[in-house]
Amino acid sequence: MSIDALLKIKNYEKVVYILRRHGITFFPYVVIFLAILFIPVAVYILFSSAFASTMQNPITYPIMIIVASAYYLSALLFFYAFFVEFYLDSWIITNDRLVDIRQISLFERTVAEVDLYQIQDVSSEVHGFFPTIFNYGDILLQTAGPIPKFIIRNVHRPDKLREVIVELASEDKKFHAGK
Amino acid sequence: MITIPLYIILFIYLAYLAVVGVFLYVHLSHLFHNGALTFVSFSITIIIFALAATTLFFTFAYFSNIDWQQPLTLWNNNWITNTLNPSSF
Repeated sequence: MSIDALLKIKNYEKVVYILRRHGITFFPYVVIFLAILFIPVAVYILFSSAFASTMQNPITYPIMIIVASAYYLSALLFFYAFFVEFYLDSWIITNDRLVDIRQISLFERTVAEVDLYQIQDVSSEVHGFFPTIFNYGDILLQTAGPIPKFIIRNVHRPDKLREVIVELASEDKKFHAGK
Repeated sequence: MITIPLYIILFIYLAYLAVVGVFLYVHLSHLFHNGALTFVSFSITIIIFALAATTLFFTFAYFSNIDWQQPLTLWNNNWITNTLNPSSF
C-alpha cells in the first residue's frame, strides 16, 4: 500500500517528507543481535570438551539441535520485530499537515495529525555526542490543535527540517487566511 | 517411569516454527500495509528470511540421522530412590 493511499491524500496535497529516526539509532540493536548470534558459538568453543559426550548421546543430541535452532529463530524474530517497530515510527509532512505514526508494539499503533496552519512554534534540539557527530535530534512542535505538542524524534538534520516546517506552515497559514 | 517418544519434541518444535512463521508474516504485513516496504526494509526482510531459511536447512540436515522413535525419559522413580539411598551419601 502506498503512503498516498494510507493517508488518503487530498487532490491538492503533496507529500514533502517521510521522516524516520536516524539509522544510527538502530545500531545498538544490531550490535546486541550480533552478540546474541555469537553467544552459542562462544559457549560451544569454551566447553567443547564437555559437549563431546553430549553430542554422541542419541537423546541429548537432537534436543540440543532443536534448542539451538529455536534460539536462532527467536533471535531473528526479535531482531525483525525491533526493526519493524523502528521503521514504522514515522512522520509524514505534506504541504497541508503533519502525520505522526508511532508503532508502540506489534499490536499497538497510534496515528495523530496536525494541520500545518495550526503550528505555533517549532524548535529543534541536538543533545549529546553521537547526535552532534551524526547530526540528528528532535523537533518540538507547539500547536493550537487538539494535540498541543508534537515531538519528531531522532531525525537527521533537525535544523534544516525545522526551517522547512516553518516555511510550509507559513504557506499553509496564507492559504487558510485567503479562504 | 514416564517416557515419551522423541518425536513429541519434534512436534513441539514444528508448532514453534508455525508460531515464528505467523509472527514473521504479521511483521511483513505491517510493513506492507503501512507503506513502509522500501528498499531498506525489503533488504532487511530478505536477510532475515534468508537467515531463517539457512537455520532451518541446517536444522533439518542435522535431523536426517536421528532415530525419532527413541524413548525420552521424563520421570524415573529411581532418580529419587537412588538419591535417598543411604549408600549414595
